[in-house]
Amino acid sequence: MADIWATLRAELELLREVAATSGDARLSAVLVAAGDDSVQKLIVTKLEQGHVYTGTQVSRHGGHVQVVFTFARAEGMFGLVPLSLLVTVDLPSRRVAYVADHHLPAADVPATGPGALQPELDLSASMQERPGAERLRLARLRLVQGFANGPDTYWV
Amino acid sequence: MSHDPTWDAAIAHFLEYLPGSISHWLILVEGPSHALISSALRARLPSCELVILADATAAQIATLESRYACCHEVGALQFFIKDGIQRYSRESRDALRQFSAWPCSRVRLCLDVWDDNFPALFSEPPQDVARRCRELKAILAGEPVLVCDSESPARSQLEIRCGASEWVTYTGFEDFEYMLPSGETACLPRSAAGTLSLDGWLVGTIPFGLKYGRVHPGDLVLRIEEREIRGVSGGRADLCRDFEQALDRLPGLRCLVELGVGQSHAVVRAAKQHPAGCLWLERRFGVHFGLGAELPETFDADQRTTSHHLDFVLATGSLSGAREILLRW
Repeated sequence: MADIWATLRAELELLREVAATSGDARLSAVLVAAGDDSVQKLIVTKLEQGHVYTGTQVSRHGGHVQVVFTFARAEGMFGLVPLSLLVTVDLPSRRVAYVADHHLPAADVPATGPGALQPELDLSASMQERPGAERLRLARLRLVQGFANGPDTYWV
Repeated sequence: MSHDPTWDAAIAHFLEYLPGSISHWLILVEGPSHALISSALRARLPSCELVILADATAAQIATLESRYACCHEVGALQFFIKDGIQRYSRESRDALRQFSAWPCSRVRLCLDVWDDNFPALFSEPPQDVARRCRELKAILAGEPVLVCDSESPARSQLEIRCGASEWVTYTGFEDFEYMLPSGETACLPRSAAGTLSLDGWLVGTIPFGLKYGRVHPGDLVLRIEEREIRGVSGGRADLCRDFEQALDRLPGLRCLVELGVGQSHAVVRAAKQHPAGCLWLERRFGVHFGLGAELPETFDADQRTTSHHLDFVLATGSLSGAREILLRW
């Protein structure tokens, strides 16, 4: 365990130098993420459990950076729980805003993220009436209806 | 959490919309896209609980809803993204639907609002937007006939008769208004006739905005008579085909049921961030026309011919009364 902590500290020092030299905000975000106490404990716990660190994915979204620390099970180990650790860093304040363990890589999330066009979208699935929708007691329900009563399709 | 003044101002403006009668808030967010919003709200709300829908089970959502359903001092702040809802199971959506029965005064619903656009969407002081809405209502109430001119290259013009129609403001401070960002004055027109060449966005319960984003002059042209769409043409074949299919399947969408005038400059700024059309675009400064389901404040909801609603949001144009141009955007 001591070795793991020592390795982590050494890597952080190395990263600090690299981030300072490069000026790359993404590296700074990784440094902030990995420097957070709660994140460090989660990383060390995973390593203690024998999981293998496989890398770091970084993506920038406006004023924040999402850092995903990915792990894999050692050969022969069985498990179903996702091992990835998602850390969202608020760049202006250089602080961790959000930590989610067991992060599932977003296979069913549009790769483009919210706000992007989806030109291949099939709208016909949304063009159905929903019986009973009008019974919802909402003052301004028009947008909510689709979300509340829609089939397994898009709806608001 | 954040020391970015833009964020701080946006959060402060958002908090102004929350009714003082609520002492405890449930914050429902989808996940990483709402990380900064949820973090900032948790830091500033005296009492709240965070529900991350990506991590919560349907049973957890249902338990939480039923626990607080009858607690009048508990409210729900809901942040949903149109293209994210499909990720949740039917059971989870059924559980979320129960929140629809909560009184409007206990709910604030933010559709298509996430970390990237939150600072822009809430960059205006709410009372400034509300004041504009009320002033506009007073002006519009004295104009029985209005003319909307697209002022785009594919010039189009609609004459709308609104005499005796009730104009309703949506400022975020009415008992019935819970959609944020807010800022709109609207009515159910008595009649409408003319041609509308959409230069803007088509958004609503069918995700045209997600598929087509900004629609350009000449792409989709509507001929409107007696407040009803009587003809569809235009140069963008796929859009026209989808729209005609929607009218065929949902005939209630043919009816023009709303003349809305958005008053949010913040939404103008936020719209520039995304190629897709978002649901808050109807609050954009300028005119939009609603099709389908009528405004419940101006119509008996039980008499609706469809529960769908689409908004034609015009990116540019002018609105004139009997003597002068009332609004240009």
